[in-house]
Amino acid sequence: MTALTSADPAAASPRRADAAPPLSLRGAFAGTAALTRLALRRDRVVLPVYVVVVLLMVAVTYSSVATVYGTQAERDELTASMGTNSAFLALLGPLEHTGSVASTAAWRVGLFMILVLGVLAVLTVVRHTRKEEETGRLELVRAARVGSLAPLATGVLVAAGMSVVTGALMAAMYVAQGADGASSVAFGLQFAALGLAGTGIGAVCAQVATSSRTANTIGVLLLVAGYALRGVADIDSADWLHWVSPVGWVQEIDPFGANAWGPALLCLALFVVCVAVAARLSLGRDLGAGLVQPRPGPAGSASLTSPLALATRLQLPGVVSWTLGVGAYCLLVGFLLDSVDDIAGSSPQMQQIIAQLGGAGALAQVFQVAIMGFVGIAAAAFAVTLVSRVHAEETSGRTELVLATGTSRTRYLTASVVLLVVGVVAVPLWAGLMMGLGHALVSGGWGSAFGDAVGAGLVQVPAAMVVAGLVLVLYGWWPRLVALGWGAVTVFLVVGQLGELFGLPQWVRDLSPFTHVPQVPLDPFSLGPVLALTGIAAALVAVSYAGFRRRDVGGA
Amino acid sequence: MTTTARTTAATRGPAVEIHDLRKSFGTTTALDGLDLTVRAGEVAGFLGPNGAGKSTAIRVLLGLLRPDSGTATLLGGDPFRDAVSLHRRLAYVPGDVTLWPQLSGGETIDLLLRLRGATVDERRKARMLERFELDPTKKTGTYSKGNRQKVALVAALSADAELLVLDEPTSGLDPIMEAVFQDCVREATSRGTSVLLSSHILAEVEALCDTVTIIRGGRAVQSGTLRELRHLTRSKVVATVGSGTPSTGALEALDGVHDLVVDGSHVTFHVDDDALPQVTRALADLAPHGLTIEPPSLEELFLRQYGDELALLDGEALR
Repeated sequence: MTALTSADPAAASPRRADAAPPLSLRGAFAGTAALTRLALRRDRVVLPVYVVVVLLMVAVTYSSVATVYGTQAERDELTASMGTNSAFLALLGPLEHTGSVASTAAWRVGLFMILVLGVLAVLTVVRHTRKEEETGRLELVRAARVGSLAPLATGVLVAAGMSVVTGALMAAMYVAQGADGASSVAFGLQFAALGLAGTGIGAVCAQVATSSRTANTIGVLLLVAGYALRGVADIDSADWLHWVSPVGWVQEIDPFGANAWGPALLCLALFVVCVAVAARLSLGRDLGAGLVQPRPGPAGSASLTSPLALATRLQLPGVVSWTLGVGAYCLLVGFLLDSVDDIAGSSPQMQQIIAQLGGAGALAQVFQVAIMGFVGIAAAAFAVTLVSRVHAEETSGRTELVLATGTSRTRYLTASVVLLVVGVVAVPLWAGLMMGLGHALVSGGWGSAFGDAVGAGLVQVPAAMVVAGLVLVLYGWWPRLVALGWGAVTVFLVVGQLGELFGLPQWVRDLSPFTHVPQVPLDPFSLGPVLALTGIAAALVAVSYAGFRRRDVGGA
Repeated sequence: MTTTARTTAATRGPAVEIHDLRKSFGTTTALDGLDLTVRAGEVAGFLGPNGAGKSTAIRVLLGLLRPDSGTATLLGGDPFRDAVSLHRRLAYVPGDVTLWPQLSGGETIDLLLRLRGATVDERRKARMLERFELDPTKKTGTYSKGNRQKVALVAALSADAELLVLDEPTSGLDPIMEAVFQDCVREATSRGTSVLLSSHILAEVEALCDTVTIIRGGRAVQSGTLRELRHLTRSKVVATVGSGTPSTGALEALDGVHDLVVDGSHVTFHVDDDALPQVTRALADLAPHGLTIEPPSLEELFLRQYGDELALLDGEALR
């Protein structure tokens, strides 16, 4: 994108913002209403899903807390166990208000889902600003009677609107559950406030970075860093660390306790300042430009010699980030493993629920098996994203470019399949190593901790490969249906990992490949199901090749 | 084109031979019995407006699409079955080039050359980059459409190929780069390369192509050398004669004279090529002091094939 759409004659000078004629503000916002309607039309599925998922997660937690910690005595026990555990302190903050199910549920899920809403706000504002600019669509839009600040205003309106609506619905949901009014509003305010802060941060990131991916990364990292800092504050009682990030501020709102509104104003102030800075940056730059410019690359390449080298260059970052992300989660779980027995030992219902997830046995091992089941789902989800990217290569016309060279279809597909297998193995393997590391650091039992965790991870590989094989078959035969892979992942999660919880009959649960994974280390490893799953996965991959070798590529 | 290239070319079979090719996508018929031949060593123009089926035909030739029926032969092989070995002998430039945004232009060129099985000749590549004025260190995500097109062109032209398959290769290029492109194609043909050039830039086809196929609705409606095609239509004659109303009765009586219009001292009409000898004699009797006889341009040939659509457009313009 090199085109300049600005008509002002100073456009060529790098510091044109200083020389630019004063803009009429009304003109700068022209077209905002139309762009906002367009944005809402395009996001008519995504935005409601965001809001509903956040609400639903809180509602589900609320009902599970009501089941397991329904009485004050049970909640007091919870304070003694989980409330003093430093891992929970880091993840969820201190458990200070156990007076009701509502307050306990707010602690159990609150901070985490608040962070999620902040991240969603970043993604939303970037999607409607930098992403539009990056794809070149904004160039077309700005050529119409659309002011220079209208796209930014649109992104901010949509993301801020989503945040406020989520907060309001959250408060309403709590009031409907019978929680006291002021506390419910404070709880909703936590969501709205961090959503607004995320909106502001995202708006600035979208002006600074020239790619939407970079803007998203910076914005999300800033929020997550704030979340981590307040975690440190809660463990070390270093209270000042609560005041350095918006995540810390919303924690200080303290619903069901202080119900303080002041910290929310801090978030609002951050929102206003960020949006003003973003507007200033937006006015001072050319379309497509940013503060972080893409660096020039090499003039040639000696290493890009094969389809595999190309696939590695394109897909390895995805493999690495999935592996590291899931690994970081498992490291935390590893820290927790030793305390599972203490926590759950205090509550028979909790014990029952965890036991349902995996059968009888040492609770820590049950927990390990259950978590690794989710890691298996993560590996399968990674496979779906990878195959979706391969499909995107085709729809963009780049597959055509490669297949018009001396690259056979078999070789082309194999390059992606190799990266897919590497990722599907790497995600559970690294997750096992990280969980083992966390466990060993806490318990000191280095040998068995690693062996158990890595084993529990690796047995997931064949089941995840079955899902990968299914998505590959879709790509090989009916490429437009690749997105159905997400359906498969969801169905297998519900009937497999969560099937027992939902009380599904065994034959339904057997439909998921994950049901057949041996529950290492709870049960001994058994070769039969692993071989069977591997065989099915291999057969599916073979079927996908048969399709890809004969179907139309690119097409109409 | 040199004589030696022509002789070696004559001994080879045709580079492309398509017969009665059909392909539909759902209810849309993209190719409806297409015939097309590119003889070895020649530059074949492939003309048609958007949606006529040019790109579909090229994708069938590249083995990306399987035809519903009909035959297609590429460099003596089957485009689908022998795709890999055939692709090592050709270079392809798509009309709408999308590249990997993570890679630089130079990396993309090297990758495409190596995937073709060609070795990267750094000097030749550097010369091409210089001629097309392309900076290879930029990430392809920052290139304009024209620059992306140049990446594909440099990759295609930096190593020898038996056949160049060019699908509207200059759609994003400026006139200076268009001239560079034409020079490069001429150099390739002088080395014996056959070229299939799909285009709707008629001046480019007129300047480069030995033969032309006009495609419409998925089938060839006209094909042959430019000379042959010109023969199918009439030359335009404009004569300026002395004062007073000229007596054009003799002209009008001749076979092969059409659309005669007298406007003051100007006489304008169209003439069939085989009627020219009699017409020039009749014209001499009018003693003109200005006379032009224009052979039809490719543009006129092309527009004639799409005349009914033009009439429709004119009608809309009039309203």
